[in-house]
Amino acid sequence: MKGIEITIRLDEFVESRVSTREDGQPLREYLTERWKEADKFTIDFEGLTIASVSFIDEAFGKLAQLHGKRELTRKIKVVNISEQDRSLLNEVVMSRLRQFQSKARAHRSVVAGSN
Amino acid sequence: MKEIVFPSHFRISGLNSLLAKWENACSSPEREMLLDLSKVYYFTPFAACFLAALADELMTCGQLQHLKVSSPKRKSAANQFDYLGLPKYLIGRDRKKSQMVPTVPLQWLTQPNYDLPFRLANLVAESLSSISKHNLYAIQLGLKELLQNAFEHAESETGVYVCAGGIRTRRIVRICVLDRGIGIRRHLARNPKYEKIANDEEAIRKCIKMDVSGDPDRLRGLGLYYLSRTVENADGEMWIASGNALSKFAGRQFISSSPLQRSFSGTVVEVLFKATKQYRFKLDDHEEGPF
Repeated sequence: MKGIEITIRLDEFVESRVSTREDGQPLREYLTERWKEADKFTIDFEGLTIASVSFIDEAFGKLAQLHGKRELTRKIKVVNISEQDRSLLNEVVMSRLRQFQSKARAHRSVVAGSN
Repeated sequence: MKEIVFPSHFRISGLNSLLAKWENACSSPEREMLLDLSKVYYFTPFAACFLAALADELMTCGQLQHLKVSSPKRKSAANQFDYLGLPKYLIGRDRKKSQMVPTVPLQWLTQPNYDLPFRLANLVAESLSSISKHNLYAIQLGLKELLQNAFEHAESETGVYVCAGGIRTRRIVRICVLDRGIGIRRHLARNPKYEKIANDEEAIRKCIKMDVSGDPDRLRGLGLYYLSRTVENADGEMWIASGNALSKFAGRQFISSSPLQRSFSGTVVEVLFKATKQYRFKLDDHEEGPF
């Protein structure tokens, strides 16, 4: 699937269930399964209000923690998202990215110490 | 007939004296009881949740067969009593038939309903006549997070009470979620990291911090943290009562705590937002977000 761009209409994918971690899990799993093969995911929020930290953290926060900011923004594009959902999405993802960065720093210092 | 008289100011800040009335009502051997609400000056969403939960408890424990209510005398309080839906939950009720009443803000849920935050937020918007989309979003977010906490962590056997209301003249919105579950301290104690929390106040102060959860195995514990930041940015306040403590926060900032002489079995959270037009939903001036 190299070079492939995948567009996800979120309202169809989640069928309006956008509240809990369980609701966010299928989206994260879908993205994770195709992460290596696909070049880009476009996620279309048209017609949806999320307003849920749990959903956003489960779907996007954990990916951020796994892949880091550069990889995340290179791969994922969000469109038709409300200003409020975008603000929440950025906040939750940034908080997970900070954890990713501190983990990476800790890992580097362990590696440097063992050398 | 046993009479329980409620004070003019029926607020979460007066929970200590309200719990004394709760205990007095529940320990009564009388078959008939009157909840005297005639002096109540104003009904907050907390008052609505508290009364509905009390009525449920009274009808399921002890000898009580008939519950009567004297309505508030003050006209605006009487309007509020009707608007919130209290008569439908208190007067002539039969617990077996008690279901959600879809037209009123006070709701009793036995299973999660995540459409409810959107519907309640719209009801509040109507009651305020106008509201910005940012305020609407803050209400939706608050209700969703509190509902989720109640259903995922509280293990309440008697369901969850939810209510939201606005004061048009003061541009204030209040939301309240009450459950009769295990409480915050017992939930957090399931995580070995928090099993040594000394008291309920400490548990309440901890639970609004980031990544604090009773679930030790998963990345969790963001909901109340982000809710507290939303409250902070909306210049609001948040009250949390659980077990033997009642604490007040201005967003993330702890303001005060008072011990409860009678333990509250479960958790009640009341959030106040200022629904001013200037408010925009923005959590932080952080570095450029990825999206």
